[in-house]
Amino acid sequence: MNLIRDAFHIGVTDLRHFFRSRMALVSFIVMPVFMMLMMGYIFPSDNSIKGLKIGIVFEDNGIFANMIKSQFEKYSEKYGSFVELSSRQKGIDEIKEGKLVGFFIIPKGFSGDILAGHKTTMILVPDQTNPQLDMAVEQMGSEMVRKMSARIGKENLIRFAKVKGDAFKFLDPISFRTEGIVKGKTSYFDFMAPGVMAMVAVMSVMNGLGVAIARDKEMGTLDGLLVSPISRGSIVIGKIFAQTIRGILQASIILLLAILLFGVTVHGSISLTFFLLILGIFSFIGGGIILTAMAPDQETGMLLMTTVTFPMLFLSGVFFPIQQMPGFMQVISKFFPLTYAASALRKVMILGASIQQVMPEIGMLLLFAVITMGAALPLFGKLVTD
Amino acid sequence: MEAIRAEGLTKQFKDVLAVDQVSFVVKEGEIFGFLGPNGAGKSTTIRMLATLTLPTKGTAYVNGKDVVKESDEVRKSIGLVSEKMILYDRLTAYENLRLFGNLYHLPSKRLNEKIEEFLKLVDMWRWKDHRVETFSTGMKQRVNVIRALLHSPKVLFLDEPTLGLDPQTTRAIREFILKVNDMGTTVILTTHIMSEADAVCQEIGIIDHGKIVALDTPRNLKKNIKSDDVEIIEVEFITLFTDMLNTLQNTHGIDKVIQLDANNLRLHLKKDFGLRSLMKVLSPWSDGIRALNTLEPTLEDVFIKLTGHEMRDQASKKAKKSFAGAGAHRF
Repeated sequence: MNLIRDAFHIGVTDLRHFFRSRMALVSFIVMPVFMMLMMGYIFPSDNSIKGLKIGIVFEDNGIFANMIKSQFEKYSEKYGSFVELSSRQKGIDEIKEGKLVGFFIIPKGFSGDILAGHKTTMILVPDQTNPQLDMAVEQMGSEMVRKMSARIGKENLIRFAKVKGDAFKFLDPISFRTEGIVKGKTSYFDFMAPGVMAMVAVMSVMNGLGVAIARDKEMGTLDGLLVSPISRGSIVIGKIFAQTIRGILQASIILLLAILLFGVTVHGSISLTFFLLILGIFSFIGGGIILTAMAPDQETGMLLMTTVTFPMLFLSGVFFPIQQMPGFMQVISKFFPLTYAASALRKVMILGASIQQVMPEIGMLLLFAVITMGAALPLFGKLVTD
Repeated sequence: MEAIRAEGLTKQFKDVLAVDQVSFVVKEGEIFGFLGPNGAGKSTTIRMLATLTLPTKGTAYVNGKDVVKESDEVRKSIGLVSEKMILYDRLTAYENLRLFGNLYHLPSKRLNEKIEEFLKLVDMWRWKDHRVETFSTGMKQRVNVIRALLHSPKVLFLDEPTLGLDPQTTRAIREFILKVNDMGTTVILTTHIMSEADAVCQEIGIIDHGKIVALDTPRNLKKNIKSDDVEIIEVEFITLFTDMLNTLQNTHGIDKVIQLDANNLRLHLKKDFGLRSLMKVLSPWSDGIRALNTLEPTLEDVFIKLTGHEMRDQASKKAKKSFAGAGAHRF
């Protein structure tokens, strides 16, 4: 009982001391805001890429070439501007000069072939230096061609095969539809927000714990705590308590921004979300203590921490799906508790999963918490004394 | 009753022997002073007694409790004012006192009364809701000292409590120490200021290079040196000349030549050397003498006599003695 009470006093003091520094307060709020804005705007929220400059070379001037032209005009609203080029060579030159991201070629005899019932081709010459843009342009071209092709096909069916009624049924008998568990389309942002929340909370605790203890040591206040008849544990618990509150607050700022600015909707229970966050934080505290205690000074400690947290950001599936990684990295990712925290949070926040459905993750987080804290226990003393 | 008993207390940091076989006893109700230059091992000794550092060897008892085996019991009965202020900068004086009082599990109401009583005692009551970071060093130290006393410890450790304070606050802190001692608290004080130790301590341990070299009352320490055939003279000159200093240094019969500042010298003469001989040695420069006094020995003289060197920081001890006016050390 005394342990908890002493820890509470120490934790409250820590929070008070932290939040009374204007600089600390500003960066405390700005950091998650910054993080959100960066992540939210740099990573595309849907697949559209805007402001592209795409060339078209018309080697054919028939009826279907004109149809293509009007299609491109429609698309320009979504993708960017289209410019007519005089020749293929001109297009290649402009790509090399960086003026175009690619150009389409409507080859000679394009309209004639279609009218004659032959197959014809539209060609894309992409800027191969940027595979991502390349892919977007390719997608756009193929989509456009597919739609046009279907329309012409339908007309051909009616004209040549005398098909009556809805010719599309013949041409395109299978359609495809996605039915989500929750309403609406989820964006990359929905995918990322839970992970970023967990990450910010975890990082703030991992770094904060070492800093809080080092600061007390430097100021001399740690002596005051150590010389009083309280247990060493209550000092560490008090600091953990303060850091956890800070982590949760920062995660809340992230959540709020995600909802207000990026249209993320939380489908699951908020209390379960926060429970998972706290669990995520606990799964890291042991590791944080071990790293801090291992380091001979604060500077080395920070370095150690960065060495561990940096790869963790990329390996825990916060920004990129784990399934996208090579096999051995997928294995490594299993050793970071953030992987489980992010996955569970995603399930709860996006899909509205219940606590039973995230039990495997909860189990893993608990396991991490118990093992690392157990290993850190003997280091508690070292951390607060010398 | 013994407040403190240290037996062969030793602390070894990697390759430095900070405290070497220190043994002493402090009686209850006493003010005991640890005197020595910075780096002599005073603070480390205090930290071992206050359970903040584990001794490498030896044992110590505070109020009859072992500092290692019964550290929790020891902590209940001690208060610590260390070199660094034990105060959270961004908390107010009141909040700081509240926090540390709470850690001793004082009942809330009694704690508030104590805080008020103490803050008024050191004339800080009207600053109670101001943040510590806005205080001067002297104001901070006053709050810091009462922080250590909230739980009425039997033993109060004060590590250089007047370091960096203005003379007025220094005096206030000293008076407060005496007041606290009057109320029955045993006080262990470390200082490198001789006059401070002389003024407040009933017993003094002189510590040098981690060892206690003398342990007695200030009176006895000074008496011993007097009967040791040393006469202490202070001479004031218009200017000091290097050749004069060299001559004095090399004169048999003059034990020590200490330069106090640009004009003053302090000399330890052997009894049989006498003033007449000194005047003879100084005759080439006698026009420059402004004043000459025979002095009672101070603790500084005791220290020099015992250790063979002046009381300066242990780290700079090896530096060659310079007689250039600006570089002189004065205590």
